[in-house]
Amino acid sequence: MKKNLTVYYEKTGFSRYIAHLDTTDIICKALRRISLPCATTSGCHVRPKIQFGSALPLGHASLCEKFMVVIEQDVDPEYVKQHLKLPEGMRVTSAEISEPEKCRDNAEKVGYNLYFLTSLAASAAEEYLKSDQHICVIKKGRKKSYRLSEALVSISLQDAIVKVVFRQGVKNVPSASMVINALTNSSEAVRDNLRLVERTFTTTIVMRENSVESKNTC
Amino acid sequence: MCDLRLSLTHSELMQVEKPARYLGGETNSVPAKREPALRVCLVFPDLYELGMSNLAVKIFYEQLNLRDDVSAERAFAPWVDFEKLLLKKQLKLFSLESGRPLSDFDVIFVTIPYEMTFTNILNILYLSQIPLRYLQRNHGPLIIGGGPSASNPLPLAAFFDAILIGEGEEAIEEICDCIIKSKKSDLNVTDTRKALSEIEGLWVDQFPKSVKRRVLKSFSCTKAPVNHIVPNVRTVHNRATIEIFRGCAQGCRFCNAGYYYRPVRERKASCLIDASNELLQNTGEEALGLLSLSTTDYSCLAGLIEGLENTRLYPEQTVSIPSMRMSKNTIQMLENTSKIKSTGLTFAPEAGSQRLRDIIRKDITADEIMNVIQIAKGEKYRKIKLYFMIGLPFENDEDILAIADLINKIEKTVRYVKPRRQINVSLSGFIPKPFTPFQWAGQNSIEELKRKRRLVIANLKNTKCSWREEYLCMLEAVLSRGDKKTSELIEAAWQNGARFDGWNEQFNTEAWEKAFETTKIDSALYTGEKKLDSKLPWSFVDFNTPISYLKNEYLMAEKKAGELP
Repeated sequence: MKKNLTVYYEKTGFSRYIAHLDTTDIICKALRRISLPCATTSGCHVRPKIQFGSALPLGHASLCEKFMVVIEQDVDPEYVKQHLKLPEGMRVTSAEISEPEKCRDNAEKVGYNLYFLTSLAASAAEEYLKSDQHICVIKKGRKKSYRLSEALVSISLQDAIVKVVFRQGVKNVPSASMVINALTNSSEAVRDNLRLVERTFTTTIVMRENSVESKNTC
Repeated sequence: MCDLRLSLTHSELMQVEKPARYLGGETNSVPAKREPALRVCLVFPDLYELGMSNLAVKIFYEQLNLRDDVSAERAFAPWVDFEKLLLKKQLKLFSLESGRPLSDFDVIFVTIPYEMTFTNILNILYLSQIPLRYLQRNHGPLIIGGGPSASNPLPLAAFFDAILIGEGEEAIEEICDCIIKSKKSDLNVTDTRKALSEIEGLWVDQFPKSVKRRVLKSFSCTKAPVNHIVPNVRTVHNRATIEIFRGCAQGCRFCNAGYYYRPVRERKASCLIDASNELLQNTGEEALGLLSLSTTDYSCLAGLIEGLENTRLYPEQTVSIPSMRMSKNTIQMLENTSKIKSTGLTFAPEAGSQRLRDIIRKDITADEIMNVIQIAKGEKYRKIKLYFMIGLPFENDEDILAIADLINKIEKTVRYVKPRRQINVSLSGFIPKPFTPFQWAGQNSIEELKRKRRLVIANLKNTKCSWREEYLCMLEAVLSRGDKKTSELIEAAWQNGARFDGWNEQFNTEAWEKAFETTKIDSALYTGEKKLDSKLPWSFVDFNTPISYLKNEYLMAEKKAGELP
């Protein structure tokens, strides 16, 4: 009986500068090292069946990353947590067995802590995020304009930390990464004082007819 | 000790390409020891992605870190964006393990894999704020080099305290012991260099004497390193590698590596199977590369592949065989290894005509080539790469046309079965390397190499062809056949901005042109033909191959070409 193993992990310290594709590669190798009985894809190039969450932008730390792997035999999630050896800064926080999911929701709420060197810079960042700015992004060679406020769910300031919740994966809403990029490009003071970008939680938004319901995933 | 990695801010790191190249923390990397007797930094003078694929770095890193008294870390050449950042922040280049500046190490071992990294070596010293020339250095780390491109140590003589000729596994231990002893006895740099000059295979410019190439005679009994670091950035060879044998059974007259790694020493297949499984278990790599100069010449290859197949650790495991000869062994191997997956095949026929293949002693026939291609045209091989050389000694236009002819035949055979199969052809100019029978041969001029390359391409039907820039071929010949004056050329080119000379997008022709001009070095003096009885600049190196043998080989090539009775 095939089952899903969901592994939650942190990506902090220097490991936040490992790109998403390299991260997936590193995780596949780590899974092979513990001889996890992964189900594999059929076809010419046999690959383990693994599903990663939305790509964490380069440089963003995260306390709530996850991936799902289809397994063919029972495994002890605790064993995976203890033995899955990842690079410095990456650490498995928990693992659990779940039933295979049929579809994947792209819409999600993501919480971020933006750590600044000074409270002045943090306050400038908060002000920028609260303002109803338009941000321009070039996507597939086309210039596209987004309203920043569409992505913003909530924002608060605590000393030199801006705590912000974005929604992303929804049509005409810029991703958290686009907003943070726009923020760092907004002024030199903000860019040079931004010490750490840390993702704190991800919540899937289940889209239903005429309603939106949140499901906590992490 | 301060960790210089912490001096870089988030926004600064975000401005460089692939910042993970400079930050370490990879699985299986060894944290720096607290107070070792000797701090060593292993430097590879090219990008992380290339350096992390280099076997020498893997061997020495694992070997030295097994010692309690030595702590070995790594550093690679920083890409131009990171170089700018270091200079802007006035930071020294640092190691990946601890962020320690290179200038704080006791010794820096530099792997010298190819001539096009020479300017990178100078750049690494400059960015570490270490004086470039050894005579300017009275303190700080000793700079010791080694590798195939330092077999003629003269072009780099001015920059290195010592250069190892030959294989390093035993010598590196002796060097470490010698430096630890010197440190304890508080010897000055000159006396330490003097002590180093007593080590077999180590050439010290300050105390020059003849030097004999170092050979690891016990190679067959040694265990291959099995704890490779798992890189945090995808490398050029994204696989685990195991060296199955060292040396080459062939005697290609142009090949420096063939002579550098002599004699042939094979590891036992049973030991290799155990080591490979341990290596795959420790790294989790999907592919295993069976490394050697000519893997299909390994005497137990079929048994090795079968053994690996029988002990397969995971379904997606593949074996990669990077150096194949188009010979009977290859045919047998391709027929017997249906279970082993491979996406591509790489062959180097080098010459198009049988006449020229005989001259260069590439012992394969047109029939063998076509037989291998016939078998390789099966479904599982998607790519076929073919390497040819132009400008070989005694070559004429018929030989050049034969290259196009052979490629067209291969193309026709291959496409008959699978129309969309990729065939990649690569052309490179011949470089007369020291310590080979062709060390006396001259190199074709840049214009002549270009003409020959165009002649090949004009006669190709469908195949796409890439080639190495002719100027680079000339430069490589100058740098490999150079003398002490060549040091000035390298330094001048570096000062003019030459970096990453092996990278097309970074190669700065102007910097080198200007360097030739200011140092008044005539490249033709280095690329031209040399008389068989002339004294070669590198003749003080005993390469374990008698000069009479090399001369005889050259004369045999001349005879084959019909230029001698």
